[in-house]
Amino acid sequence: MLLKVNGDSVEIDDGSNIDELLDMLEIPKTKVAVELNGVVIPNSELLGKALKDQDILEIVRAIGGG
Amino acid sequence: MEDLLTIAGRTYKSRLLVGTGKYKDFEETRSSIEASGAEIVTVAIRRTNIGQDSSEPNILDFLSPDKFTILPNTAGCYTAEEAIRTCKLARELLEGNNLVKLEVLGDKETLYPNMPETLKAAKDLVKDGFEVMVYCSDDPLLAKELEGLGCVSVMPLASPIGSGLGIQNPHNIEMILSKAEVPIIVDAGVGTASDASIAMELGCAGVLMNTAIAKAQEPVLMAQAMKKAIESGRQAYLAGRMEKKSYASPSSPTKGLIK
Repeated sequence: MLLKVNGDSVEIDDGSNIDELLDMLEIPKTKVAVELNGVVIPNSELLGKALKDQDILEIVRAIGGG
Repeated sequence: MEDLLTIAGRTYKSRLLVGTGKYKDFEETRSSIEASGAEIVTVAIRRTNIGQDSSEPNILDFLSPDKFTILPNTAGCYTAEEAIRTCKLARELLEGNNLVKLEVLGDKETLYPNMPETLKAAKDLVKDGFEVMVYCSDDPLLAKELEGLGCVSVMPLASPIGSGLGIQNPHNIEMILSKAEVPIIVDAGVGTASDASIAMELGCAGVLMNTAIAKAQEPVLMAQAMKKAIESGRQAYLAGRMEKKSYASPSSPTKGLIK
């Protein structure tokens, strides 16, 4: 299936969840937050969240800023 | 009695709040922040780089949320909607922390706040349980309105973000202070130690700065200077300055002079 992650197209196996997506993209699983189709996912539900074709994700972290 | 800063029910010894942007590296960030004595530090929320080195250090490894109050900002947001989304992401990122620095910008050249969008976002965020510290213009009426919406701190700019021009309109800051019931923190525009002292002498509860320290020739030394400037400005405010006079008044007795 095809996802849009941080503005880029990403291909992943059907039936994958966010845990598998983060593994594939080599993104650390702590100190990140994810918005799925405009809705922020609570931390407690993050890794197990199932994905479907055409989902749009924003994955963010904290960086230096004022 | 100890003079503490209280924001959203939490107390702080330091009245200097610092940003974490524009430093050379995390080590310089950490040493400058340590030297500043700040207990509240701001961070920005940005997209994770896809395909980045997963062992790359994260700023939160250097600034532990156990040691500092991490204040996520909405810098770079130009609409209330973007700012609200960013705050919701920040809340999950920081494990339920509700304290945010709301900043909705108007344009890229001035980085002045877009006040209609700021008011809109503040209202929705407070309703959603956020504790909002809000970057705003130095308009006394809008500052009061933000307080009325339930913001826990109102943070007018001294001058444009990153400009280092100091407090351009101290009279407006005074007007805001005279009506305020929440901590007023000058946010943005401070360039050097005297600017920070002036803000504190006016009666501000604190000062938030980033570029003034990060872009000094010696950031750690400037961080130390800012710490002292904030403390001395605060002490001068509490001490109550002498009345200004138009003419001289001798400091030595005028009686008993030799003839």
